Amino acid sequence: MMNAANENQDVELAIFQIGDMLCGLDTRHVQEINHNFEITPVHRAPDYVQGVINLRGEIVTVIDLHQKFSILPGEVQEDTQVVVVRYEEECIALLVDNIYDVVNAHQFDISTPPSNVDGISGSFISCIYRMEKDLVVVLDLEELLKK
Amino acid sequence: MVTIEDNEIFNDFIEESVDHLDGIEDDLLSIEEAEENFDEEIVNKVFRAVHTIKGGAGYLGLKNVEALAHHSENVMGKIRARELFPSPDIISTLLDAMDTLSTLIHRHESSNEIDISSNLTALNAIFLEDAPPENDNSDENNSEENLSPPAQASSESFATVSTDEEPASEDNPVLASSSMNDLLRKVEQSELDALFKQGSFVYILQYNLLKHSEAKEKYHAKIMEELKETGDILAANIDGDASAEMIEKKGNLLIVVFATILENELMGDFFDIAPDQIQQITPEDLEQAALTPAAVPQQNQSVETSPVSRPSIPPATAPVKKMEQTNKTLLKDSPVKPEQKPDNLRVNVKLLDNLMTLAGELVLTRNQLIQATASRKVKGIDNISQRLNLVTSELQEAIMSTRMQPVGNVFHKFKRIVRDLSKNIGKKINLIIEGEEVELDKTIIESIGDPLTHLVRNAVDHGIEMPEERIAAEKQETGTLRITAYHEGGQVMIAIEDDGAGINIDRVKEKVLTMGLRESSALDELSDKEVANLIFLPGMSTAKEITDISGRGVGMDVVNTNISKVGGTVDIDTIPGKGSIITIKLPLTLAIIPSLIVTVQKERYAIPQVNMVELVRIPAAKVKERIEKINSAIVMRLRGELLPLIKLTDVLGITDRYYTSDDTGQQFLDRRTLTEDRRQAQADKIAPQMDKEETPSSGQEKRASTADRRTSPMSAYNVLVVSVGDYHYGLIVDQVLDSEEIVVKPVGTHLRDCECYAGASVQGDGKVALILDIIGISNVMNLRTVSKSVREQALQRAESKMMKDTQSFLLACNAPEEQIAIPLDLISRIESCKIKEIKITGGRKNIQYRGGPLPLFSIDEVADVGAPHTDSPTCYIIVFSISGKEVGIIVSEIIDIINGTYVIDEMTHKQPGIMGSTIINDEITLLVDLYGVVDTIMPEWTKALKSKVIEDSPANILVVEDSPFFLNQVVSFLSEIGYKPLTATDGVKGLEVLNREKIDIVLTDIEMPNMNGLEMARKIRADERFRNLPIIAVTSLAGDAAEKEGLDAGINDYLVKLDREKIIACVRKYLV
Repeated sequence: MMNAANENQDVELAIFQIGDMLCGLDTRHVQEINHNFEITPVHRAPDYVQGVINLRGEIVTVIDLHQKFSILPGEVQEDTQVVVVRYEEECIALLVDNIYDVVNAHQFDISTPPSNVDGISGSFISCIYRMEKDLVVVLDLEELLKK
Repeated sequence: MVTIEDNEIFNDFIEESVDHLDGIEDDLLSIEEAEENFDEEIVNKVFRAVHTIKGGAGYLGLKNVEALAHHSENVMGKIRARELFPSPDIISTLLDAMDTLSTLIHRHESSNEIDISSNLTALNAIFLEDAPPENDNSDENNSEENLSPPAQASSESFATVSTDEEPASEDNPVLASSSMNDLLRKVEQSELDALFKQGSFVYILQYNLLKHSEAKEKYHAKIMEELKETGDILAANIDGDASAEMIEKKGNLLIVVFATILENELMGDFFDIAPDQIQQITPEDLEQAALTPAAVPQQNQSVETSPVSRPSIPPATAPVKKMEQTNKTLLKDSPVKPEQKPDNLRVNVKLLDNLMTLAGELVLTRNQLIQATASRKVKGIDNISQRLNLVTSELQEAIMSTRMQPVGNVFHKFKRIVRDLSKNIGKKINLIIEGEEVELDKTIIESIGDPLTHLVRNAVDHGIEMPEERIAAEKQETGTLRITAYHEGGQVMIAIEDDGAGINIDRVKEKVLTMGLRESSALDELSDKEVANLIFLPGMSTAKEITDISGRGVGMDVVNTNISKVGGTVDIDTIPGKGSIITIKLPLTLAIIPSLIVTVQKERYAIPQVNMVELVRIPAAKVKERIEKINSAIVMRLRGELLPLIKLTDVLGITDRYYTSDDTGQQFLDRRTLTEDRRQAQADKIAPQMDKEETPSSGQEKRASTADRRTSPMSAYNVLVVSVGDYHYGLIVDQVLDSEEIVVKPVGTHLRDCECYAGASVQGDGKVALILDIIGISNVMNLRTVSKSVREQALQRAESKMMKDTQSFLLACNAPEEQIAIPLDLISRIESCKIKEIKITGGRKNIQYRGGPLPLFSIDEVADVGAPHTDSPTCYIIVFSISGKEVGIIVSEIIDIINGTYVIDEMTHKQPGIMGSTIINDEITLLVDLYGVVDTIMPEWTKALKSKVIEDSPANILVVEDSPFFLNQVVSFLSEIGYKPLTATDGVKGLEVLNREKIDIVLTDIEMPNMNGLEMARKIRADERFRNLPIIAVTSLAGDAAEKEGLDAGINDYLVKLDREKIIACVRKYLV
């Protein structure tokens, strides 16, 4: 799915920030980018589940990517930013720190993850997109969200 | 080329045909039942339906459908003309034909390639001969003998004898097993995992098609259909590579990967397949399979082989080839996953019109609202919001009703299942279906089909005995299976009742012990019913002994799981030798449920009201008294029972951060340090909060504050008493907000494993409230064990007070320090009212109530007790009825309802309006005599009750009662109206009096020492002299079961103690 490098096409990436890591996600999976939700906590849920929100009547699980990547959360923001993705017929909101832009990533700028990136968080990385200044970690949604 | 128009025509045709076919099955069965007296109209109906299908099929070019319909029509025509008697065999053939027809119609694209010759042959045989030969019966279920190949009578014109062959390959076991693995690999691992999780079993079934076709006329399509009825076909393949000669010798192998909830032991029974042909696949096997190298590639080729016409095949082998061809056809289009049926719903046009009107109303209301808000008119908004409320609820109701479907939709297929299954195993069963019109939500209807089928099959297979066994057990040869649906208490009940052998309780116990699911001491405590219900425990299902000896217990845990998934419960009652009743309780609908909204730590949760029993608020001052600790568990005394308590904060692992002020209900942030992080809280959450007092890790400050909280005015307890099946527990929450109808929404996959939640719902303000799963919470908190220890204590208590019955009282008080008790059974209800609403007119207190005055009395008007204090603006009115009038007694405060055995002192406090006194909760409590209060103030009201009996025929009444207090009460009621009752203090003495004196009526208590009331009643009835002596039970043992037992013992009437009016009325009734 995220093997954008294998396809002979450009990929549209939504770029956002988790901790101090820049992440990208193929916009084909992104339903919307939204903010200012009141998150209802769900106790006894897995650690990475921040809670649930009401997205126009649908109950959407909010996943905290900090937990997934074992990054300490930054300052608690008043205004929560979420990227809502569709995964297996279900809406899931990813809690992120900052949302930047949607960019057209040329396939030449995309490379496989370097070999020293491994471990659990390594498996979430589909590939690396080299922006002019920064490196963007393109996420593998399936790995990230499968139970 | 298929145009959209074509598709529409096809869809219409399919829909119509499916409707027809559904009806035909029932009709055929009713024709069979009526035998020669069948209703001609029904035959006509079936005839017309088949004819319609034939017409449509002809137009659409579905040749096979047309042919099959035509042949069926021929047979039906003969039955209609009464040239043919509709014997069970003929009906079976027709039913089979209808099944095939249904298959053909569902697969209309490929229907012309499906082989239907066996159906045609059978139908033709019936048509051509008036009495069809025995062996032409093509019902796979009831024909045990070999069937002569249909080719001999086959109408060649319809048989598409084309077959495809490949060079012969060895038909050996290696091939079979490798193709199995190959097949298995076709199935998605995730799909299998999901199935295992749901409690399904996965099997690989090997059918020898040739053998089956010869022996049981079970050919491929039928096998597939049958399998689909009970589970999902994940993949199918056949070894089609064998040559004609090989087929003749060894038959053709059909291999199916099949998922079902049926146990291995049952597979053989249901599918007519030898145990060695069934291979169960476990998750471990799958891992193994994944490791073995890829299979022989030629397995899949059979599908794409080119058809070669072989007209020269000898007739004997023809059916085999046809079958093989069928297999391949099916393979091409039989989907690996279950077919997706179009999800259509039929809605009554009237209902739709109603919906339109309501939608119109809604639009109007919105317009009004917009106008009102735009013009900032606050005045009209009240009206509009009320109207909006009305329209919305009506709209909601109307939409809900479109989802409601009669439960008969599920029931009707049982006729066929029971018929086929009972024929197959040679049992005689009379199936009675009642309450088909009871409606349930579509989703529920859909999800109860499988569990119900399982239960019905179980009842037929294991419940009802073979005819000879039944005769030996002096039962009717024909067993009765009754399926009933009915409404009860806002829920739908489905009962499956059989008069079979019942469940062997001892075997269940044995199995439970060997499985180590319960300890033997624990088992001894359980009643037979409770033991029977243990078969729902997971693990019991694999109990082979149970399946062999007493049936049931097969996959019952899966049935249980599936029913509870839709919010239902299953309960089993069994009497060994007499039969079993399985009762399923289901909610009417899932989508919208009335719930109670509560908060803990400012978070809102919803609790479905079905689970709620009552709300108890323990004021802070009483917390110490009412709430106690047993080991680490907190319990509360509630009417003499110990109720296990859990704090919702502990369940959810929330750290207490806020406390609730008792006076204002406001919540404040606790000053305690909030050092504990969530993970720590989670680690602690199993241990109840109170334990933390002893935890050294908690800071000194915290310890002090927690200890404080127990006694401080800040910590009143709101306890929600909830029920989980047969036991109750209390959930402590911070605040109880409101009761709301909430729309249930599912939560995401990541949260499905949280047992505590049943879903989520969006509140009026757009926030999300999670719905608590009461059963899940009790599992998470391991409440069963707690409840067991509580139960043991209850048992001990019950033993200690054996031979004494208990009384329920409502505790209230007027003046402080003066507790009064009122017999609960006499109270109709309790109202709260404002003191200023009480008016004094004509010197009498009364209050406007439901359009009329309700006379009020105060106990201090008659007895020397404190008056209700007037400093609180509200008071309570205890409403009861006397001489047919409703009357209220004013009290200032309601304290509790208690239940227990009390020694009543009739001397010290006896006065008008007070019966006596007792000590309840260490306080002297006055027992109020409601009758006495009214009698003193309004003697004329009770006149009717006091009219004396005629002096010259004083009837002799015997009162048998062990408690002196109650004895005196009854005697005084009776003396007042002129009787002179005789008394006895237990059953033995009662019988002595009865033998000595002439007695006209007996009033007796039930629970008494030496001989209880029931036993005495039986003894009295056994005596010829007293056959018609009226016996009235005066007791506090209420309840239908107790009453029934009493009636069985010969008691004429059941009355509540201290209900003077009823007792007198009843005595009069029997003495007149």
